[in-house]
Amino acid sequence: MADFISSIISSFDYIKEILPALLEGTQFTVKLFALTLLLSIPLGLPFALGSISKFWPIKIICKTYIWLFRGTPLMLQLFFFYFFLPIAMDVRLDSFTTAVITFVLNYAAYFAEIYRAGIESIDRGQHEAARSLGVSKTRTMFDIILPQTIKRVLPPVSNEAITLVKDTALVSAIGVGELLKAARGAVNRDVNVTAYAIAAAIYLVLTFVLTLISRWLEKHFSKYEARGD
Amino acid sequence: MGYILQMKNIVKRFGECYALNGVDLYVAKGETVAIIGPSGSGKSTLLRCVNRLEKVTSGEIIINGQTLVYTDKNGHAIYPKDKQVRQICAETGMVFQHFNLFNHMTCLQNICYAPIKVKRENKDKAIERARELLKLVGLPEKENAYPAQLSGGQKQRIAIARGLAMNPSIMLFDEPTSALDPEITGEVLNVMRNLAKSKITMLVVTHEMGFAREVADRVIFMDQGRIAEQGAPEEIFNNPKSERLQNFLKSILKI
Ligand SMILES: Nc1ncnc2c1ncn2[C@@H]1O[C@H](COP(=O)(O)OP(=O)(O)OP(=O)(O)O)[C@@H](O)[C@H]1O
Ligand SMILES: [Mg+2]
Repeated sequence: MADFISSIISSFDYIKEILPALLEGTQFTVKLFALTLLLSIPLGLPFALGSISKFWPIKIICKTYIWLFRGTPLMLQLFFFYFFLPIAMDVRLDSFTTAVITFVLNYAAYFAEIYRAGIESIDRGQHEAARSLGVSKTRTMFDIILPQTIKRVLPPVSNEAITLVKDTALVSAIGVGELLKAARGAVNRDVNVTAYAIAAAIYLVLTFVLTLISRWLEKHFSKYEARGD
Repeated sequence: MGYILQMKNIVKRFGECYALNGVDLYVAKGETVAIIGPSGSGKSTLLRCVNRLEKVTSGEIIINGQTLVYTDKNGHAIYPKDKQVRQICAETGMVFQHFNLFNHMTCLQNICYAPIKVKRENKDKAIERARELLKLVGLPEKENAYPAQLSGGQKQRIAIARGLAMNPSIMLFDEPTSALDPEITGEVLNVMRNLAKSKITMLVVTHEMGFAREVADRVIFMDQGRIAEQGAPEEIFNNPKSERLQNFLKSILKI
């Protein structure tokens, strides 16, 4: 019995010892997550609009961009930018900035595709009604179509956000000291897997909070669909 | 005499299919014209050409003195710039079979949106006018309701108010009651009856023969992309000349 209690106490001590490093890693994880989401959510929109544009050069550029970033592994893109930017363009960026740039470009492509599908799912009758009232195409898009698209794209967007939380672990590959890297450091040093368990718990808390936020947003944006569609 | 709508020799082709094959239609101010005809005869296409939801293949359309489209020597249909097209089409109010209300806007916002954003009307005045229209269609208490909270008949009445809000010179209706349960078509037809009485120019595609007979000044029977027969309601319904119209009326009455 005494053995058991003392082992619990000592494991508490151990957790207290490794926690600061893990929390510091979490900081990078959350920062990368927030910056990526904040920048890629708006950046996806022009690419979505471009990919349904009737002006073919723009359409081709946007479609190609989306295809490239959705069609190759994020890890590969990360390595590519990590080596490509310094060598080919002679810009030196720290690995965290490189990670943010890569993630924003990658996630904007995914969001663009989600937005495009959302925009195209709006009933043609909405365009026709707007047109018959003399509303311009641009106004129709921004005042009529996009506001109704928000509700429809929320579930896939929150899905991507949860994937993003987990994707942040990839950047340890280019040396960013995020949560998983911190945990791996502790595990390798102390030959003790506790750090992985704590890291898992932290990831779970983050994704749980996200789930709550997205549920709240979905409720908020469905206020005008009192009886469904 | 003052025609609100003039359509001359309208042809509309979808690939190999002639949806409209030489239609001439003149609608006078204050007139209510009902269009009847079998499915696929081109009734919707005709309406949709009037407000440029479809581009005609050839022909000429003049709305309230403004030319929406004409055909040049080479047989090409010529439309003005998009901005002008939109301005001419705003002279027409369209009511769709499936309402097409803006789902994210309240009834009041649905009605005011185009007057404020397209016509740049003063906001307070537009709201005031919208409230009058809500009264006209008998739904003053639904001002702040969203379309999803309304019955089909109520939605269609709001859609009519939305069309009227632009003060169009002609209202176009494409089977406004076809998507409704039979017992609530009455409330929509009533509103339309009142519009006809107040001499609003209307072009109505309908399967409601009772309504066409009672309200229309003129009934047009379309068949295979052409106007096959037209005349006063009594003539059309009591004394149909063409065999096609006789058959059509028989088939409708059987249902
Ligand atoms: N967008 C389109 N593409 C190809 N063909 C079309 C299109 N719209 C209509 N048509 C064809 O044009 C013809 C006329 O169609 P339209 O919808 O005008 O008929 P309608 O008289 O309104 O019929 P209904 O009573 O069923 O509504 C039909 O043969 C139809 O198949
Ligand atoms: Mg039709």
